[in-house]
Amino acid sequence: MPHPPHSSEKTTVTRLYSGASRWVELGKLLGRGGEGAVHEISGRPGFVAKIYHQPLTSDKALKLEGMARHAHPGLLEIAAWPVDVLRASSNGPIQGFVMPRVNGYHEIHSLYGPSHRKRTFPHADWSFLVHAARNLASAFEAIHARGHAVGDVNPGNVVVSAQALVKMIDCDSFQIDTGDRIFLCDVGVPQFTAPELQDRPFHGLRRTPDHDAFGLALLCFHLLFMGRHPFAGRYRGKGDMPIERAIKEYRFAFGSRAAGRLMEPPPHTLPLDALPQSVATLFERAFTSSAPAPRRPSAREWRLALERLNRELRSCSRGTAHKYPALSADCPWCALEKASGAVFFVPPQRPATTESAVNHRDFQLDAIWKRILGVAPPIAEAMPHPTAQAPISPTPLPEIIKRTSQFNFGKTLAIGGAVLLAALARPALIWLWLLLAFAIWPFTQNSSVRRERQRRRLALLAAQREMMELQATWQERATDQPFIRELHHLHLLRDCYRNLSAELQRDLQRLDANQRQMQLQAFLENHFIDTAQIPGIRTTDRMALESYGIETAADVTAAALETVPGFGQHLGRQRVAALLAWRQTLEQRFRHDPRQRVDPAAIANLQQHYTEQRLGIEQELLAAPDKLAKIKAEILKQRAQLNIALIRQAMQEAQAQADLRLFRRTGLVVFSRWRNRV
Amino acid sequence: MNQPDLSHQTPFGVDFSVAEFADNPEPRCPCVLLLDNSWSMNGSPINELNEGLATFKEELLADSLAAKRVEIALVSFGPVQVVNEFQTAEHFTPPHLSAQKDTPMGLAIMKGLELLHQRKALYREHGIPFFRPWVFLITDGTPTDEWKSAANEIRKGEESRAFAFFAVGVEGANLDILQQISIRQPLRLRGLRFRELFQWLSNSMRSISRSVPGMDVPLNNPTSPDGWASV
Repeated sequence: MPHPPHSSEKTTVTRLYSGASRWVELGKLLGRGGEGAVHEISGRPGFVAKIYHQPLTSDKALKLEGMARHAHPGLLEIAAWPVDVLRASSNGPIQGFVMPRVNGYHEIHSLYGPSHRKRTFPHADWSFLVHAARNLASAFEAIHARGHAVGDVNPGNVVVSAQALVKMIDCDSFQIDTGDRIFLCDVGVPQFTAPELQDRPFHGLRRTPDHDAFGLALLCFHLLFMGRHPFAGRYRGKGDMPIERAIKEYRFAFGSRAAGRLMEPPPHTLPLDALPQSVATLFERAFTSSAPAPRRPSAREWRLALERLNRELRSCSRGTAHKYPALSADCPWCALEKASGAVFFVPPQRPATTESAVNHRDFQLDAIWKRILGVAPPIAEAMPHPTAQAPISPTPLPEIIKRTSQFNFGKTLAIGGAVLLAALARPALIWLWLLLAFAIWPFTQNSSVRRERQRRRLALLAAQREMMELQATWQERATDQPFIRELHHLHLLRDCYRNLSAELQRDLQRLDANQRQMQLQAFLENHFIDTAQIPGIRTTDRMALESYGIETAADVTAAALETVPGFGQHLGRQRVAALLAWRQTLEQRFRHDPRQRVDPAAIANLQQHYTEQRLGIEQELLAAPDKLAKIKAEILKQRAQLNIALIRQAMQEAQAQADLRLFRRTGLVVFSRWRNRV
Repeated sequence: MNQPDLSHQTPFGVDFSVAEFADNPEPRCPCVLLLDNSWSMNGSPINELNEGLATFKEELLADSLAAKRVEIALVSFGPVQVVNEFQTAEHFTPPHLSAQKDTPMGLAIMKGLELLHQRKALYREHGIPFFRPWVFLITDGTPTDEWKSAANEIRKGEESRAFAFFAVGVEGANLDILQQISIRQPLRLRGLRFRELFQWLSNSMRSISRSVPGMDVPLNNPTSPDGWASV
C-alpha cells in the first residue's frame, strides 16, 4: 500500500500520488504562473510537475486524465503533454499533472523578433526561420492527426530550441478528443484568432484544425517576416485599425489585394512577392479568403511547402548571412537593410579570436612569401648617356641666307671702313662717328639671317628639354624602383597580417573596457546644464556655454570651458570650478551596470571588419608574385624602349647643336650675338 | 473643404525609428510618467522616487516580452522637462531626478499628451500595433499653473479611450484638484512606498503587454491592505 502523504496541509504538499501506486516527490520550484506552479520531480529529471493554485473543476480533471491516457510518444515529442495526473492521495482530487520537461527552449517571440533573435539565436539565418516554421507546422500536424486542436494558438504557447525544434506548452488548454468526449479550449487570443471566430466568446467554442490553421499561418508569417503581424500595416482609412478588426475584415496588409482594403505593408518589410508563388499563395489563402473553399492551408500543406522553400534557398553573394528564395533576382535582405538601416541577420563571423582562425586554413603565409621572394628583381642598371656616334653633318644654310649673310657682312665692313676713314680725317670726333655707325648699322642688316639663327637656337633648346624629359621618364620607369616599392609594400602587408589577431584582441578588449566609459558618457549626456542647479551659474552663463556647444555634463571639461568668454579669470574661475564639481558629483552618482554587456553586434562588426581586412590582405599577397613579375616585365620593356629613344634624342640634340654651330663659323656670330642682346 | 494646397512640414530623410521598428516590431505598450520634482519633493521623497524608477526598469527587464513592448516616456515638472522620450524598457535609463522649483502640472500633462500623440502617429506610420497607453501622474502638491485645459484633454482622451490617466498623490498633494483632473479616482500613496508603486506599475504593464491590444486587463488592486495606495 502506498504511504499516505506526510501532511494534508495544502501549502506543504511535497509528495503526490501519480497513479499506478506511484508517489512523486516535488523538487525545486521552477516557475510560478497565473494558474499554477511548476516543480522539478525528484528522481525524474526529464519531467516536471505542474501544481494548480486553485482546486480544479471536475471537467478539467477529467480532461487531464483523458490527456494522460492519450499521451502518445509522437505528442510528447512536440508538446509538454500531461503524462500522469497528481493527487494528494490515491482517491483525492487532482491537483496537478506530470509533463515532459522543456529545457533550453525559448519563447518563439525571441526567435521571430530580430532584436532578440540576434542575441538568443545569433546563428539563425532565414533558412533557420523557415525550418522552425516547418517544425511548427509538423507539430500542428501531429496534434491534428490525433483529433485534437491547439485552440489557443499564440506566441506564448510555442517555444523553440537552438536546433529550431518546436514545442507546444500550456497544453492543458488544448481541445482534446478522448474518443468518447470532446474537451473544449475555453481561451484564446483575439490577435491570433480566425476571422469567423472574432467577437465570439471562447467559452463553449468548438475549434477545428482549420481554425488552428489560421493561427499557424500567423506564426509562420511572424517567423518569415521578421516578427511582423500580417494584419498590422499602415491603414489608409480614418482612425485606428485594431488587429482584431483587420482580421475580421480580411485586411491582410501584405496581400495582393491589400490596397483595395486600404492597407499597406509597413515600411521596409519583406514583400510577399519575395516568396515563391507557392508559399505566397498559402498566405493569401490563409488570410484573405472569406469563402469556405478553398480552405486555409492545412498544417501538412504548410510543412510540405516550407520544406520545398528551404531546399530552394540561395545564399547572398555579398558575404552576408542572407538567404533568400533562389527565384529572386537579387537579395531582398540587402535592399531592406540598406533602405532601413536595420540589420536583420547577424553578419557571419568566423571565430576570429584565435590565431588559427585569423590565419585562414587555405592560406599559408610562409609558402606565399617564398613565392613572392622567388620573383627576381630586375638587374639594377644605370641610365645610359648616349652620344652621337656617326659624324653629324649640319643642315646647310639655304643659299639665299648665305648670300644675304655675306652681303650683310660686306655692308658691315663698309660701315667699319667709313668710320675708320672719318676717324682718321677728324680724330676729335671719333665718338660721333662711332655713334653714327651704330645707329646706321642695324638698318643695313637683313633680318632673315637673324630669324634663321633664332629658329635653330629654339630647336636646340627643344631638343635639350626633350632629352631631360626622357631622362626623367627613364628614372621613373626603367630603374628597379617600381619593383622595390612594391616589395616594400608587400613587406608592410605581411607585418600587418601577422599582427591582425593581436590587434583584434586589443580592439575587443578595448570594446569591453569602453563599456563603462560609454555608459558613463550616456549618463552624463543625459544631464543638462540648462536644468541643473549649479551654484554661481547664471542664465547668461548658460547661454554663453550653450553657444559654445557645452550643454550637458559630458561637455564640461576644463579644456572646453577655457574657450568660453567669461570663464577665464576672477569669477570665471569659480564658475569653471563649480561646473567641474557638478560633473564630478554626477560621475560619483553614476552606477555602472555590468549586466549591460558589450553589444554583440559591435563585436560582430569588429570581427567582420578584421575578417574583411584579412581576406583583403590574403588576396593581395596571393596575387603578389604575378604582380611583381608583371612589374618586372614592364620595367624591362620600358628600359628597352627608353634606351632607343635616348639614342635618338641624343642624335637630335647633336644635330641641333651642329646646325646652330654653323652660324658661329660664319664669323658673324659675334655681331649677331651682340645684336640679339641689344 | 476645399483647402488650398498648403505646404506641410516633412520629416528629414530616414529617421531612426525605421530601424527601431524593423528590429523590434512587437506591439507597443506606451507609458507616460509625469513626475513632480518640485522643491517640496526634496529629501527622501525624491530619493525614494528615484529608487522606484530603478526598480521599475529592473522589474520590466525581468520579462523579456514586456522589455520589448513597454515603452516609457518621462516628463518631470518643476520646471517641465522631457527627461526621456519614448524608449522600450530595454533601452530606458532611469534618470536621477532632483527637487527643483514649482509645480506646473497643467503644462506637464499637455507635454506628456503631446509626446504620446506623436508616438502614436509613428506607430501608425510603421504598422506597429499598440495597447491603450497609460499616463501616470505622481505629485505632492497643487498645480501652480493653469490646469483646467489639461483636465479637459484628459476627459476627452479617456472618453475616446485614447489613453488611461492615473493620478497618485504623495503626502501633501491636493487631492481635490487631482479629482477634477483625473476621471479615475486619484490614489494617495501610503508613506513613501514608491518602490511598491513602481512594482505594481511594472506588473500592470507586464500583464497588459502580455494581453491583447484593446482588451481590458484585470489589475491587482493597489488599495488592498498591503498595497501601496489608499483612496
